[in-house]
Amino acid sequence: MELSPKAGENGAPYTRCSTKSGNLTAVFGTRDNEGMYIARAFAQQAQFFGAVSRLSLPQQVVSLTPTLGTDWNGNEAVFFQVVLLDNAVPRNQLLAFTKQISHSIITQLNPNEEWGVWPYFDFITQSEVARMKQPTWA
Amino acid sequence: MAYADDLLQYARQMAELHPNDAHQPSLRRALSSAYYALFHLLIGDAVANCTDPRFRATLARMFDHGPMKNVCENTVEKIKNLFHPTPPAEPERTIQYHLHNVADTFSQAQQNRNEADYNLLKEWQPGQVSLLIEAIEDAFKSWYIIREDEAAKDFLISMLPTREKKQGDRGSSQKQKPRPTLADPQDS
Repeated sequence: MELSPKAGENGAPYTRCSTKSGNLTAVFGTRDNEGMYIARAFAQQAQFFGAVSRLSLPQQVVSLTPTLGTDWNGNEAVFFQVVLLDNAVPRNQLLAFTKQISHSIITQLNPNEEWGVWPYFDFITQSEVARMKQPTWA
Repeated sequence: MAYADDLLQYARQMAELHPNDAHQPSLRRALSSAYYALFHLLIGDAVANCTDPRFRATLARMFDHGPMKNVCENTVEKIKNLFHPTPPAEPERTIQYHLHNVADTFSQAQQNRNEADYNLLKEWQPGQVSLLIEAIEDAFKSWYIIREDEAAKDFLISMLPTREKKQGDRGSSQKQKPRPTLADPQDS
């Protein structure tokens, strides 16, 4: 158990201690002793993003952008935007290729068990990203 | 042709309505319809053994999006662990592979459906939507391969709401609210 008293932080009269168990971090406020659990990916964001940046991916992946948030159900999630080279693979192999990438990310990162976040994937090509960045009046 | 297949075909047609233009209403309806196609495919099979159409219709209404997604996520994790470190032998391996494909696709598709229907800030592109619909078409193929297997039937049964699950859902939602962050401890 790691104690980390933070009395007076942000002017709030409270202390808290945290304990790490698996992929969750418990935070206890002293006012009501209620424990709250947050995903490790949120509590240790620098480490999480560091782990993502170290992932080994195929050269057809131009960029991998993780965004922490919640899914529509309110559960902690990581949303990966995977930008692929145009014509990275023949079109009839694209679905299988994207599945290989998401499988590889899950295997290397273990986002649910290690970090407490459910992974979602959004695959898009470079030219589609460029099109999205054009202003609507262009 | 079954309703789920019709809906999936409709989704594909909507997605291809404006191939050179990111026409947001068409792309959003396509994503939403494709998710509902998979939703109705599973529910249709779950209630198929019920012979009376009125019972079937009532039973079908008992299925709920959130609990179905929870079952899918649990299934994905369970199968992931089943394959690690050594995958099971055939035919179990093939069955679990296809079940994983269905469960994982359902979970992703449901999130996309909500984004498509409610998040107007997100802009969809034709190629991106086409790929997502192809994933659902692939999940349909997987389901047709395994639908008669016991593992597939167990998967459907586990989606049925029970009193225990409802109590569990209430308990877990109470635990999760309010959503905690380290940035605003004064709310604790």
